[in-house]
Amino acid sequence: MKTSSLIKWGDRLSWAVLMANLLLILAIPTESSESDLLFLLMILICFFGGAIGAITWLVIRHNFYFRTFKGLSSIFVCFLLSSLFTSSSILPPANERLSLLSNLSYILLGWGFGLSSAVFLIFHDIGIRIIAITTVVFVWGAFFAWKIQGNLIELLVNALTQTGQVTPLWWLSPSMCILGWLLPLSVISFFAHSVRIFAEK
Amino acid sequence: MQKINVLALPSQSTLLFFVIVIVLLGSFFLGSIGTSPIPFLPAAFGIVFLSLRSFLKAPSKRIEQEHWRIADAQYTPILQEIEKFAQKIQLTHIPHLLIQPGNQQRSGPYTFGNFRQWYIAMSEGKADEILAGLSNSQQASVAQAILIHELYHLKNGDHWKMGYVEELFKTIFSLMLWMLLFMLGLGMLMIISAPDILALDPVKLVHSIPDLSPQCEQILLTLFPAEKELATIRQKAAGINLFLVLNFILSAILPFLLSSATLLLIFFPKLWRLREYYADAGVLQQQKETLSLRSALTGISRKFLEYDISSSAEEETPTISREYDFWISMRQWKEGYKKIAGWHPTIISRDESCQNPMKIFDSWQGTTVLVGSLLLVLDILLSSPLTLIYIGNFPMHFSAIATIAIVSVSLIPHVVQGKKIWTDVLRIISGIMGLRLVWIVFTLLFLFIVFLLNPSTFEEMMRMAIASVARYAGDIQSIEVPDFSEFLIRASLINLFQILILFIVSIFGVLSNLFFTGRILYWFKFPDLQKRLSSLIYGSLAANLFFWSVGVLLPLTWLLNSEQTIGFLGWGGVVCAWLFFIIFLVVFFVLDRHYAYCCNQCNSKVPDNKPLEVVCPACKKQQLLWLARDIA
Repeated sequence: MKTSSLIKWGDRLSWAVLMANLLLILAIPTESSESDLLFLLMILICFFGGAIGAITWLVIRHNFYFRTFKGLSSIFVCFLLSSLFTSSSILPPANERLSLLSNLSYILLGWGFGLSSAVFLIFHDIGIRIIAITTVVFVWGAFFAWKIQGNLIELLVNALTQTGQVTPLWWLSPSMCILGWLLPLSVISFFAHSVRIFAEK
Repeated sequence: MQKINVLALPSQSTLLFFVIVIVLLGSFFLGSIGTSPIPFLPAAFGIVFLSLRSFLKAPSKRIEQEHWRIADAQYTPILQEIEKFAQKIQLTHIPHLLIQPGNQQRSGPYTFGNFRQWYIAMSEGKADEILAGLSNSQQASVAQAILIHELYHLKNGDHWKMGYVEELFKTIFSLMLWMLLFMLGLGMLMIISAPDILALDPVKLVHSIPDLSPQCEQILLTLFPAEKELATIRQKAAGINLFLVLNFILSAILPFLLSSATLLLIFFPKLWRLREYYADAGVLQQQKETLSLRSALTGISRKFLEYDISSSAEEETPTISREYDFWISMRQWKEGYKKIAGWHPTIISRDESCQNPMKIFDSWQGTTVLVGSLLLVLDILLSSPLTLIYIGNFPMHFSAIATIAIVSVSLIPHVVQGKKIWTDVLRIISGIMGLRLVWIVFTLLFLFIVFLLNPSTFEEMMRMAIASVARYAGDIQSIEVPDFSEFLIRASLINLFQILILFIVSIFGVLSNLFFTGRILYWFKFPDLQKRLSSLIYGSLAANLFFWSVGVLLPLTWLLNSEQTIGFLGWGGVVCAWLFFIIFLVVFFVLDRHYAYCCNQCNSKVPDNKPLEVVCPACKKQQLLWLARDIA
């Protein structure tokens, strides 16, 4: 079998795994016995590994798209939207199934965003600029959050202890995810590009 | 008097390059005085790394952005000329020729690159013009002059000097912008969170959470800082206010803004201008005549300039053509400004420096303005009454060392010509120190007037000055001033005495440097002196600077400030400097005895004339022939 057809099969398989994940979530009965639910959750966990693999394959396969700013920003917007559905008090999820769907897509898009950032930073030597921008945005973000929402320390302690409720710090999780990806990747990219430049010149 | 070959002397552009780099980095280091949330010292090393990285990357980026293309076979005659002259002037790399296709404007040529990638770039229009020039026997030498000029930029290292300084400015400006935004954000966050941090009681907060098990409470409590750390944080939170934040940001950024403004307005344009003169000197050295370069500079045909010289020789009056004269007069009004702050030397001044290479170097007034402006900025930042707390500390030495180094190198051409330089040294140092004295006297007067009229305002001003170094969180316990009036008088006296010390040390420092340089110029028998002259001069300059700064300035300033404690390292440094200088003197005078005043051909004694005029009476060989320009 030729390599190109193998790649095509890889693409198809990846999309199929992703679709299967989504359908599985929709197929989970809302009222079922505890043993059935456990069984379905086990299947979901198995599929979740597959979905992560599928996302990885698709991002690497379509790296020509993700190495552009347009590609990176599109997945970034999708990630932000999913995070809004997942944890905001502005757009609360309609039911448990949708909640599970948005949670899954949030994790998958978070992974996808990290991978596409890595792809983007391999082709663009802008690690140091990203570090500079994210630190400034983070500091000013924290300032405005403190000004608008009040004592962040108390809110954070409450968020840690009252996990069942929608927290006013809904923005914290996606921000930490973005920072968690961008900062280390930018540092690695900066040093890797530096080594390349010094070696070349 | 013989004209000097400027290329044989230590390069003034190299000196300016190092002055710019050291002052830029030095002013960044200044931000590190006091407590700071930004690790300035690692940041300064980061700047060196970042600027070097950008410098290495810049050529490829520029080629990509400006759509340069490597010249094809169509431009073979230019490539051949470049290769021929690159070998002739012993360039280590043959530069690539870049053309901007489709650009019919006559822009360029100019050079850029890094350590290993060298480029000469020009528009398609200019390349076609040079091609046409090379194919015309009348204009071939003019086209060659243009190419040799560019090759000398590479030979003199202008591409890396300019490229690095440009990237250094860009890097520091970007970093300053980031610091401004980040520190402002951090300061505002600290201000807004301060009341909550002061009121924070972790135990109470954790207990207020309903339905929490004791284990969970314990885990949550470990997330908070320990009581001792929390007390320190509370203390800082109590001291923070908007004034301190703004004061910190201003005092961290102001040194850089002031010094970079001086460097950008005076020193960087000066570096741009100097490099052109040196490249012109290279053309003259290769072509052994001035007409081709003058034709290339003015655009007036070489034939016309030849006619002009022959007719003026007949008339026995050194006039220039009417066309040239008109052209010059039209531009005369711009000259004054461009001479001081222009980024490119005027054609008139380049033409003048072709005739007389000494025009490249500043007069004593020019050197005074150049060095004085920089030192005034450094003084405003380093030893003004607003930073009286640092009296007798290192900052004053930095400006003194810079003065000695720059003035010494500026006066080398005069030493080569055998001029008496001590009056120039006295004038320059007096001018520089005069500027410093005026600044100090005015600020001290201002402080005394405020003190006499309203002592409480004066105390407030001094507290502000102290706060500017106490930085964030009002950490002023470390700098205690019990009696402000006594402090003002003592600090004023020390500041004024500092100027006297600096004046004397600078004069002796410069004179001793020039004495050693003057002696080295008579070491005719020294092996390969032509190649090693700059190294010898720089070596003696470095040894002198070390001695005058560590061996003399340090102990003198310690004497001024009796309250300062000097450790073993301090005295050890002074002893080292003296020992080093004694060894240097011994070695120098042994070499001097061996090599000075001996003919480099027949080894017989030569007379003590001016360096350029020394001719051996036995073999009739002119000793420093290479130091004189061998064209009319």
